[in-house]
Amino acid sequence: MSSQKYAEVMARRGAIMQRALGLDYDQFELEGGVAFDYEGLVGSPAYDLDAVRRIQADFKVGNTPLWELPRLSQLVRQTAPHGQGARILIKDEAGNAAGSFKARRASLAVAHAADLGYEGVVAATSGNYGAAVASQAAMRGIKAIILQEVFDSPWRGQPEILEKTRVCEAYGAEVWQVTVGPELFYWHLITLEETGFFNASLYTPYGILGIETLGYEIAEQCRDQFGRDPAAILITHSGGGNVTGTARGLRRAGADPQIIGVSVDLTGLHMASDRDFNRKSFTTGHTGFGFPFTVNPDRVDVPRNAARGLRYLDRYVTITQGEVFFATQLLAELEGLERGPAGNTSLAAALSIARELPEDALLVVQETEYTGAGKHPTAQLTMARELGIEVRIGDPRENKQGKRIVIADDIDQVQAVDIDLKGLRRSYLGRIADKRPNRSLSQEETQFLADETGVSRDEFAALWDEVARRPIVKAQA
Amino acid sequence: MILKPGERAPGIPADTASVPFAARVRGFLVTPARRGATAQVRTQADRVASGRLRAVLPRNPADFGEPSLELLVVGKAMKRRLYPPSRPDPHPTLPQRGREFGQVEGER
Repeated sequence: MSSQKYAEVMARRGAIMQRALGLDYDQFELEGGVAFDYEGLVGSPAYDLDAVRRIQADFKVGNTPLWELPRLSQLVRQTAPHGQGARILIKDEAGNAAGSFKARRASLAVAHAADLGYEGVVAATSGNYGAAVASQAAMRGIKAIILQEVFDSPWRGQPEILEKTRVCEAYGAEVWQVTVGPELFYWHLITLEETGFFNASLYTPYGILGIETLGYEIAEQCRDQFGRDPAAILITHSGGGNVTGTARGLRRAGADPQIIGVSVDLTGLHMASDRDFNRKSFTTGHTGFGFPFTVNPDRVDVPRNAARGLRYLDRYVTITQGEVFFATQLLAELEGLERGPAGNTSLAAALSIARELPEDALLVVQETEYTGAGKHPTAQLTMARELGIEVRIGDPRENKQGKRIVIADDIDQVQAVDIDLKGLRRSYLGRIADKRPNRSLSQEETQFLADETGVSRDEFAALWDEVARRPIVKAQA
Repeated sequence: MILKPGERAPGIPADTASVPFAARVRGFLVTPARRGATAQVRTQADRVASGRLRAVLPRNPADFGEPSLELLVVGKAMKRRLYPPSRPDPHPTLPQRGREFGQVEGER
């Protein structure tokens, strides 16, 4: 058996990954180590959109309803300027096998693993993706191993992730519940090495292609049901996959709505801190992933991340935990849908952004997820109180991450906060500039970085000039 | 335990670095064992894992927690906003608006 020392396992990561992905990422690398053939990578799966839809239909995924939320829209209009308050729609992804949009990602990853003849799949994820992989693997008759970050050092489990353990095991998966720390990745490598299973990472081209059907369906359904294209799509933003896949699917359908990413504001809480771990009432869709992944998408469990949020985001906002709990309660009490937490992050932002749009505009919240024990706001608020976090009603601006959760007291108190995308672009480019002391870029690299940061060549030239003049640029996240 | 404190990844926060990196997994006992003793289990993916036997058929600990008075009050307040009552409330036990909640909170 090979050494299991931390540094030695990490040194073998390239070889382990290559075997576990069945994809040679080196073929996409371009000269200089900065740029790679992104479209070549995301376009590498040998399935067209029709094939993806067929696979998903065969494995209980997709074609979920798009519901209008008229009572929430009406409530927003009560405090919006005259003639404003968009029609809020929600894509009810809870109807997918395993209860979330993650089934779209898992269906392709597991289909590919089965096609390549792997005996099983491994996914390192504390979220719905684990349940989706386990469910898809169950239907394919292959094994699934899910690795989850569940506990802090006194073995206090985060309620939502305890539920994810249960659901993965319900689908017949082997689940490893680990304590806080980035060594989850180390354990992932060891598991892949020992089993020879497929790495069903969230960030392969399969994990992205599977979501394109979601964007495509939204465009189709808006046209069929409402006779027009959506004005804006709100997408809960973490690792970038949801934004990337949905935006690509919308483009395929010829729709061009504003793409708005939404993350729960958890700034100030450290993602790898044993103490902070259970002081977060959200396990994903928050700034702890959203910021660093936007600035540096390749900090993942594959050589190149196919999910690259900055390429697609037109706008990026944050919302507080208490505002999401408020939205969750209203979705249940006014619209008769008990869902979440995941999609309710963008729903909370919708309650704010709908105010800015005309009454006939369509504003789409692009996912829901099944709810249950541990995932429900009451479970999170109970845990927060036990850890000494104050919970009260009031102005969400008084929210203090890890110390106080403020449930919005009225509809007009819900206010999404804009994040400066230009600042994130600068941070992204600062990281690249630090690797290039002479600041020179080839034509190919210039085009790549303009695409990566979602700007024109001219805008890029100005941004790069700004970044290159500064000695060191630190990432905001 | 997978990694002792000194064996962990470099650069992690001090509170995390000072505790071990550990894991739990469930499976069927390969041979009978006592709680607290070293044991081997066969996992759902048909692998064998070794470690200390912590529990037998452990109860699932996730639940819905306690009801949240805050969420109940704001839900009610927003319903009142959307469907204004035609008559005065005969049982005015709840605040008319969420921001008057402080009065109720004192009674918890």
